[in-house]
Amino acid sequence: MGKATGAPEIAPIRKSDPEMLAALHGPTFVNMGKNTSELLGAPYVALVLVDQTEVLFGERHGFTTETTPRDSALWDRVLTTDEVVVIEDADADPDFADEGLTVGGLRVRFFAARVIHSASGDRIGAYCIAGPDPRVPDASVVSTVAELSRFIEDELGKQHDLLRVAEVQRALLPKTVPPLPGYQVAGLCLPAQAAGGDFYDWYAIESGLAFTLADVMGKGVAAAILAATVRATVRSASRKKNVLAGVERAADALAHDLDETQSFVTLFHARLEAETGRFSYVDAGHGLTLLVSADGSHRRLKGGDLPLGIALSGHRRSRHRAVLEEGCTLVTFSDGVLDLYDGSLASVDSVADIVRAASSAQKIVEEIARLALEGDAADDITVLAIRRSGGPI
Amino acid sequence: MEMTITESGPGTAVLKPVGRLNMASAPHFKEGIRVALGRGFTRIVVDLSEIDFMDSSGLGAIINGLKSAREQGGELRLAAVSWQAGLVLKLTNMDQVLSVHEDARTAFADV
Repeated sequence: MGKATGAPEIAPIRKSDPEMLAALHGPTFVNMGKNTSELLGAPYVALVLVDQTEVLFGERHGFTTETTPRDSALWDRVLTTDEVVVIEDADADPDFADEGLTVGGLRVRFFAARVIHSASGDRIGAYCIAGPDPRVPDASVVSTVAELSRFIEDELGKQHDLLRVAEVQRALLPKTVPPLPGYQVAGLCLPAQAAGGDFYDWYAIESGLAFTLADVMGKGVAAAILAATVRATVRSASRKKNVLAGVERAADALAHDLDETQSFVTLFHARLEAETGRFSYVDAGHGLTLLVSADGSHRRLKGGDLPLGIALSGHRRSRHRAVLEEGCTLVTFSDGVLDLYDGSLASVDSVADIVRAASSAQKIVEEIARLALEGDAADDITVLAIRRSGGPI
Repeated sequence: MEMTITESGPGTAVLKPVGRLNMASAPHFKEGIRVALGRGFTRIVVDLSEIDFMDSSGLGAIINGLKSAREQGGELRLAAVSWQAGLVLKLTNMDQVLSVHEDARTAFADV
């Protein structure tokens, strides 16, 4: 799927692209301008990206200008080669001698820069050093500019990969709810990093709805790969005739992978019979599922079984049964939600308060999302809420 | 994460990690277990009294240590578990698998 052979193209960025905004203003390259300035003895340093008409200054040192027009001969020169472009004295350069070289409002005589390529190989910007006085830079200065621009390319490439992982992981979450008259279903999954080990899932079964909330040990891409595996395995095992057989089948299928990766998974998996509200479930070391009744009382569903990937004894899990009565809400969530409060089990009561106050299942997950974003959550946060309507269906 | 390994009896070592037992420190902790087992300590006590926070990766590292100890005919036990680490053990039901003791020095007193 590589691009066609030929010279790299100048590919203007879109200013609205969050990936590019993160590159320009995110934490990745913080203080790099200052450090480069000290290292190379250059008063002005900037990471720049180009859009259709402008050069945008990102992480920089020595000046505060945000943008400058792209029409200068300088940028054509920088963006049409992969080599470091060095201008020792702009006042002696035929392109700039007449009017002098101005970059970002600064009069510049010495300038050196190397292009920055995107993950797909296009030229999207440059890493630049400059100063007000003429300079014949050492070969080491020139090679350092090249190395720093390659470092930036690597970092942008990693960020690009991470964002793709996050996109794929989001795509694996259910987006629509199967027709389930009398019920509201809503889910939320906010990884602490770009991707994570939590997921929720639901799908129609003959009698109603099967649903899952799982938390793979760890965070980040490694946990996300396992989460996708767990999701697929639990889905395919759900053809088993009951919820316990399904989970045990999935546990057996995952045992080797979880052992090899020294990981484990906590999981809540249930099957709901829509007509009666009866549901059967397996709680494999999850322990955080609440039933909030129409009268406002709440209880934590009984668990007691071990996570998937823990095969220390001949442990067999058990099937539990409960009923989602009219006006009742089931909410199951990852332990990251506890950390939105004091981290103790008392936090469960605070989640029950949210459930009671919310006018719909969607409002429950929206409120928890609001708390998570406000609190800069350190752990993945995942919630699945199912509310059965109170009145006649 | 700092960690001390001290001998507390015949074939028995106490590992005492300090700070946070999480994804970042789990490899260091696993290495400590490997070193203790390599020196012939097959009874491992993990003293959690100096652990401020433990997450699922920390628990995973402990479970891994338990597996390794048992493979060598030994055992791993926990001591001085804080309320936070205790909650992680309780929610995951791993308190059924890991033997928890109040004091590291007496964790293997029964054998």
